[in-house]
Amino acid sequence: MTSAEWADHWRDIDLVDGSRQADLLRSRLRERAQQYAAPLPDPVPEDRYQTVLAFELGNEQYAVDVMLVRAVRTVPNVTPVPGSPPFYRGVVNLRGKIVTLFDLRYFFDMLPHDDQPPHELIVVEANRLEMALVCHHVRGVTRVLHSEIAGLPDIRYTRGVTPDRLILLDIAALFEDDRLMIGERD
Amino acid sequence: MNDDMQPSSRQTSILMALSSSIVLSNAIAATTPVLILLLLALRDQPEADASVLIVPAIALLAGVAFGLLVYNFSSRQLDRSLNAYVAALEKVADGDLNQRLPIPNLSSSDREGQIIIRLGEAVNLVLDRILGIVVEINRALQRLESDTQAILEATSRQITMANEQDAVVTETTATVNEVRATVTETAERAQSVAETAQVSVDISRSGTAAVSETIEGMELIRRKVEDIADKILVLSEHTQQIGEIIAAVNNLADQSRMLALNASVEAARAGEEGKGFAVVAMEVRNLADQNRDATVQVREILGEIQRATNSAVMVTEEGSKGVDQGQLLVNSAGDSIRDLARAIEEAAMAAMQIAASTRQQTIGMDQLTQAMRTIKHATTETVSSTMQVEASVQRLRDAAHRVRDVLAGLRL
Repeated sequence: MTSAEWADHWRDIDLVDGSRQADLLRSRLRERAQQYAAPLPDPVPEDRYQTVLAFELGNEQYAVDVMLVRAVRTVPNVTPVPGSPPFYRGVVNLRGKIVTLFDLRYFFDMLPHDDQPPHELIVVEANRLEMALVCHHVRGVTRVLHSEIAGLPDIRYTRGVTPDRLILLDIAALFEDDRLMIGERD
Repeated sequence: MNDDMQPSSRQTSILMALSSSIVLSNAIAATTPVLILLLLALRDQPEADASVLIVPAIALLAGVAFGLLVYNFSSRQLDRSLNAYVAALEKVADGDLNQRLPIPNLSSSDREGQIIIRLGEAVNLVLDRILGIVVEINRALQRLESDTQAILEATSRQITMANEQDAVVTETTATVNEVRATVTETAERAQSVAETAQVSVDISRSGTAAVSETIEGMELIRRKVEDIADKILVLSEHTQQIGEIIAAVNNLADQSRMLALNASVEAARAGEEGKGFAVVAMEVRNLADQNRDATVQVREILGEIQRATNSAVMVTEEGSKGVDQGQLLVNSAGDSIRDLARAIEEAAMAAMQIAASTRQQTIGMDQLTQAMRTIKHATTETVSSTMQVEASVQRLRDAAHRVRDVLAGLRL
């Protein structure tokens, strides 16, 4: 370890030093305050957009209707269910409620190459069916203009794709699929 | 002849006296060379017995007495006898010492005849004695000649040998001088070697001191390196703890983000009423993200610190090993230098002893040169005295030659 390299490290550590960090934080907060204080340029009417929750799974970016979302979590200990199809990764216990983990990649036959196990989940409910979609990263709530959504007629259970390649899922239709039902019928 | 002497007469006494005087003169003539010989011998041998003189003296006296006695004696027989005596004595005078007087057969009553007989017997006795003496002298002369010859040969050899000895001594002196020069040079060299060795001894002593200091320095370095290793281990433990804390902070940030996401979902579902809440939720989420970014950064730095401390630990371990090895090397170097110093000290001692002994050798060489000079002097003296001896012996030989020449005239 040469002295030059040590100097680099000291410089790096200096970045997280208290005073510097405080300066950086203050400038960021000021910037953000100005952002918020500025008047909204062109308020879009509410019926012209949809609010969705965007997330990443593998190399794809998806979005679900925020109204269907019940909770966002990190994946706790998974209990695998023997004999279940591969898109069911198992079940987890979320505050006393048993929820099934659903992996869209296996359902759409887009098998992962370098599998980094998804460690976040989004609990969605549709047609009185509640399931957890696993994902690598939940990006957050965002708005999508209806006018910008391009339809994907060839792909089932989608409502279209945005210019920044966000695929809108039709969860209600997906949950109607027969393949999801195993073991029992009501 | 004996018969003729019987009728002696007074008339013949004059003739008798005449003949006796002739006999006497002949006897004197005969004894004179003998006397001369004896005198010559006595000159070369002064210590010879003086009694030798008595014989010719007696002969002379006898001759005179005989002359006086035969004065009154006259007879033809006496004449004849005396003539025979004269003839014999003449032969003796010519050098024939073997001649003897014929003793006439005269009657014992005749007084004069008796005298003539006794005279003849006495002269014969004298002649016998003279012959004996001359023979003795001749024998002694021969011995003398051979002895002087031997002495001359011996002295000649002695001179030759002395000359050879002189040459050898000269040569030896030159050799000794050369050896002395060499020994002097050796002494000087040994002296300079001793001085150099002394300098080397001083240097090796300072080298030993330097090695001791180096050993102490190495020990100090070893302790320092061990301190560094300990400190780095402590540092490593601290970074480990920091890592754990970071993991906890990271976990908290993740939970905050989840809470913020849930809050924003709830706000969205609430519609218009949830807008203000959505802003708060967004802010919480931003903070959580920043927190996470910071922890990621800190984790990276920590990783690098850990790698650095690991390699530092390894380096210090290697340094510690290097110091141990260095200590071993320095110790062995110290031993070597000490051995070297001991060897050099011994060499210095030996060189000094060599210098001292070569100085003694020089003194010995000087003594040797002195002795050679003395021998040369003695040889020179020996030669000169031998030459004197040779000259004396030559003179002696010349004298002997002269005696021999005299004796050569005699028939023995």
